Amino acid sequence: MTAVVVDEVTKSFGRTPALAGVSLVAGTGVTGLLGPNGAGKTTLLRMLATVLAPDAGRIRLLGHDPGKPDERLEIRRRLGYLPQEPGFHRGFTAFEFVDYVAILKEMTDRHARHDEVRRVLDLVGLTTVSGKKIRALSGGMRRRVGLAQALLGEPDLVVLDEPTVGLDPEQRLRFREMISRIGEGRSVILSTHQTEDVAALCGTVAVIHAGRTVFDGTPAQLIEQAAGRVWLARERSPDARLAWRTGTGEHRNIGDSPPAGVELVAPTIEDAYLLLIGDESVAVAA
Amino acid sequence: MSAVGLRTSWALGWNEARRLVLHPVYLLGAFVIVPTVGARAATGADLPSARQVFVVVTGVQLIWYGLMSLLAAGLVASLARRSRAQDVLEALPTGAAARTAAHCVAVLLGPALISVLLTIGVWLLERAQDEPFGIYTAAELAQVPAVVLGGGLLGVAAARWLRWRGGLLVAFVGAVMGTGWILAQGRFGWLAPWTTARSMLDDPDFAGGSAGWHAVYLALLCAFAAVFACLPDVRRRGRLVAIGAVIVAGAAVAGWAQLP
Repeated sequence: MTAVVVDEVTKSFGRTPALAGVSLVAGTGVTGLLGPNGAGKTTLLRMLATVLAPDAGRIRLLGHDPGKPDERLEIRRRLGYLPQEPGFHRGFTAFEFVDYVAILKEMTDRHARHDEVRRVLDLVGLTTVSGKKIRALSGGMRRRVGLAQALLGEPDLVVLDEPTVGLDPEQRLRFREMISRIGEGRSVILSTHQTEDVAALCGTVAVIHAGRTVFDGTPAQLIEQAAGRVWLARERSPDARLAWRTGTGEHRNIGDSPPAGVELVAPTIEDAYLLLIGDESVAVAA
Repeated sequence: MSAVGLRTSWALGWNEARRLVLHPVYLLGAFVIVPTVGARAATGADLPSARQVFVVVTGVQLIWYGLMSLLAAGLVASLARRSRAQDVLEALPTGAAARTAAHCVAVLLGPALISVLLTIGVWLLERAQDEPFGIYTAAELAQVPAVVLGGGLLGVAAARWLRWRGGLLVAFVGAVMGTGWILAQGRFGWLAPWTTARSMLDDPDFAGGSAGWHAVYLALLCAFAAVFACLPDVRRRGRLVAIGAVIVAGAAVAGWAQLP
């Protein structure tokens, strides 16, 4: 079943448009949302988490309309959500916080609930620190507490807003492993700045820019868009939209029209993303 | 609220009750109550020791536990907002109305239940005496847990309505000053959300009211505080407003009936 259908959705905050007609379809597996700061990713994810309603357009989640209270409740029963800044009751232990969320997920049987809390804490590798206060946990561990609460009750749709931001490389790899496991058999929507995460994890990717979907396809299709537009040269090419000196001393140039005779190289997903987003992404990347 | 919602509110209520009774704000109250109790003990040095225990237990509940329950319940009920966990909570099937209901249940199962047990304890203590002290009647003793319950429910209501920094403190100061002012209004002092100990009846302006009706009046004020707390978050406000109106009407009748 198609877990997420977003059709021409718009949203403004006062006079500031956040989404200007986003469309997205996502099924089983991990779907990545890429886009620069302010592109509207968090706004879209809050809508997918049923926290925010669109001004216009249509959203269907797990076959239901989140605009209708009864259907929204049904979605929330099958949804896991990790916001960008989850906000924790810092005086709680990790176990207490996840248990608190479990009650709010309507798990009223104490023994079954505690078993489920232990299961998700084990899944994210926090069993040994489950009795520690959240304020005493590292940033990476707190993110894992956030992920644990999102996985309670084995939700059919998991929405993760920049889960790897602020994590060190090892923690990021751990998160990747967890997310790839979560994505087996359910739908995961993952917002990120990290193109490597998308390449490593996602079966499909949508690129959002200025409140619109500018790409929707597989990571391979995204990379394909940059084929023939990335080249190595001794110097920074004037035709390049973006160029940088690599560790070998050569310049990696990205642009629409490579000069004749240059050495074209295989593009990465990052190259494709930068070409797609254009000058604004260059400014952000710089 | 659906059956699932009721079960969830009940389960969450138990969870929150445990946090509520262990809230560190009660330690803060010790700074108020220790000198108060000390002064009471000093002036009542010639009283039988059992009577001192009786006075201290009821006095502590009113002066300290009731007021501190307002703060503790307000802080527990506003924790999600203060810790910015609302985005997580809003995506869950249990909504804000059920969470507020759970906080009201928590006040009932936590501080109010403890107050009931303490009050029963001091009542048994008095019954065990050869010559009962006669300080409080049963109706007056019943008012003690009602004040504690009301304090907690007012804290929950303040957390839901005054959603700005310092809102709870304003509610706390307002409750203390308002109660003090009403108590000073002669026979209308009976309308204060406070107990009516027989010792207060020495005041001729205050004497002659009905402690039983006052207990009913306090119970109805508690019910109204719970309804008022839940009002901002319910989907169908009309029904709750109607219930609140009936409660207010009942409180007005009981409030009038109690007057000297």
